[in-house]
Amino acid sequence: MSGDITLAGGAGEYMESATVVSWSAGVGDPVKAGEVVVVVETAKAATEIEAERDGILVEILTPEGAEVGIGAVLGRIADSLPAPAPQAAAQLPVPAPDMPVAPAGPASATIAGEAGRRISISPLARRLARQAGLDPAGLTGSGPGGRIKSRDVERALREQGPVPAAVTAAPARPVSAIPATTAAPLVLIHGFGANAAAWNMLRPHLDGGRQVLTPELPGHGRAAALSRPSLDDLAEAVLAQIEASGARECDLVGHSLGGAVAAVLSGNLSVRVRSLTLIAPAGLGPEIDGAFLAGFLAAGTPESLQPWLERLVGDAATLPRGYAQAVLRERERFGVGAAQAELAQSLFPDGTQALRIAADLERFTGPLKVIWGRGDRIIPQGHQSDLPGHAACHRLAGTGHMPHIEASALVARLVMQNLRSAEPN
Amino acid sequence: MAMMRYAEALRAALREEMQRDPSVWLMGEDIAVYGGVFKVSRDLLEEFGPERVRDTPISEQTLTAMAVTAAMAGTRPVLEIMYADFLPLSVDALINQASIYNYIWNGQVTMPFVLRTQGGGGAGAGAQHSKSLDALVAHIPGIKVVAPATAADAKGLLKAAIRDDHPVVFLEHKLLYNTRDEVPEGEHLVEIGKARIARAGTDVSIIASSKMVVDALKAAEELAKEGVSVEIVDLRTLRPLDRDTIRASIAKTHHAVVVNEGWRFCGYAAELSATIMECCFDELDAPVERVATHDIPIPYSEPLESTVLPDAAKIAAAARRALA
Repeated sequence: MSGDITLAGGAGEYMESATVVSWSAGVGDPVKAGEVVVVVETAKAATEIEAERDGILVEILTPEGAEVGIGAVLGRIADSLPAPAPQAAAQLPVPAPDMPVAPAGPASATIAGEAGRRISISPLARRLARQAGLDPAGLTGSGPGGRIKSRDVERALREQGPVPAAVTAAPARPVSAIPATTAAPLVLIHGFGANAAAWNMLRPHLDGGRQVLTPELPGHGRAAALSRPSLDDLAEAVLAQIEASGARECDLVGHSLGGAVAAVLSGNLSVRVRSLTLIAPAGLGPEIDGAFLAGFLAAGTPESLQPWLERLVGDAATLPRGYAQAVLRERERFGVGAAQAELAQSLFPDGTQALRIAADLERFTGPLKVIWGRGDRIIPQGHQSDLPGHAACHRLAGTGHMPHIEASALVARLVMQNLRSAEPN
Repeated sequence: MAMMRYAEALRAALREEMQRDPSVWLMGEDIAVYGGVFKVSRDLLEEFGPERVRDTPISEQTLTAMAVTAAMAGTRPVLEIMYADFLPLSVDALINQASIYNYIWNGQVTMPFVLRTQGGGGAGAGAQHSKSLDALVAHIPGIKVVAPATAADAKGLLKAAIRDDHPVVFLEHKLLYNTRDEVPEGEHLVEIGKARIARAGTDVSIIASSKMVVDALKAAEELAKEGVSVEIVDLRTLRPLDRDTIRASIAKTHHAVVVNEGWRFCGYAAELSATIMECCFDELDAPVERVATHDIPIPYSEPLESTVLPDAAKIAAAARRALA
């Protein structure tokens, strides 16, 4: 048995909202019917809200200072405190399935939470969660009264979804994170035309104890676009996202254009870079598949995009299902297409790589690993010959331009090796 | 294009339509010799004579019935009701005559008349001269209702209303008469039933009409400083409602604030809110926020009046609640 503490309209017929001033009891405190539990204030007066029943205050949904609308549920009174486990579970990420699957049953018009409690979720958020196969019961709502909004689904997809289907809904900032156990986060920087979800295949293979940040390049995912950005501009934008995490040092992994960004960042003075793992990095030679860039950017249908995506990988079967649709949805939803075309024009004019990272790598003295697929059709693996002598080179057979997707377990192992060699003895 | 006051734009529409079509004529209280209390019909008596610009007794109920029969007889009357507060006197003729004759007589009659009136508060005009009764007339099937927010739309919609073969209630706002903007000269028609995007944005849609569009634009400026991108849908026509434009906007922003200067309870904003729920439920990321006038008589006292009426600050606060 439990009862809601709600903000009734009676405090003033024309009241549209009120501010929570103070709670008279804390979570776990016993309360009695008729006792004041919370005080709210409208533009006109402060109003005391009394408990309607005896019990324990089990939940405070609106902290002091919060603005709440009429009818909002402020908190809950129950006979006893719930067992702690479900509470904690609600805070944890949903276990990641291998592939997003549509829920089998009806689209769960009524969504019940752990304790059978109805979950407050916006229609849009429910639709997005359903499309992504996410169970809303595992989401934490950031809207009024704990309502799950689309941004909460998007954050969950970004943090937990294993497949780029989540591409549709990756939130921009702050960068996603799993709980930190070391001060130095592992930062994964995606490549051109991708977004943070590009790492969804790799992440399950990483050592779970590391804090992982997946910043997004400007004009990708939900990161704001920059006008004709230089490589340094991209690096600066990524650095700002790393700095926002409060990290003082980090390990960097970058793929393709993200590899070039990581190389530039390796010398930054604000967040010390301990190790560098580059996957098929840009910036080591002039060649790049210009036809791919043009075709990828111009494609407007899954049919016209699919052949270009297949060129990314050695075996087309390793492309995650729905990848083309996800890319197109992201373009439609966040309008990243124009920004990426402009970025390509700036960094890869006329199908040529107009960026150089050799000098950055020469200066970097930490552990440096470079991973390349032997079947890379986008950036020739021959560019490895330009690497400095202290770089370790890994050439993966049967793999194209996307080793972190095509051979995710192996790439994760190599990344972890590089991290360990950067650990202080 | 010419810079023109809203009242001047209305006068231009009346004059042009009277020049164009000899069956168009005006009637109302103090509209001829005095030129109308807000001077919309000034100088038209001199130009068109007392046959076509007629002062009438103070009897709104009779005047509206006269307009209905004059329209049935083949002329195009434009009736001015001095204050929207007096619309209840016209409502019988609208509900039981104008809106149904075409229907019950199997299309044998048309009803080309326009009822112009002005409403709204904010002028310290008191409880009898400040109301917005949009919902009262928009409720009636068979009546078109327009409520322009700009001088250009005032002209274009009034010309379109006069040419329409159905009864049109034309709602003006007393605080808009002196607002100015660019108005196309000569033939300028705005299609009845089409909203416009008064400001494009991506985060929240504010759906408003008449003077509330002006307040919404101010709110949007304020919200822009907070990084919130507001889209404003200016309905222009209250009935028939342009659902397509509303739907397209909310599909983009996923958040809606509906604004109407009428009373909140059973008001026009409630209709908008219900419509959005019906046509855009799966697009909504938050409940629709409603901004309307408190359910009491409009106070004469300025501080009380401004407390009761919607304004830019209240619209901005509603947008913040939607985005919370």
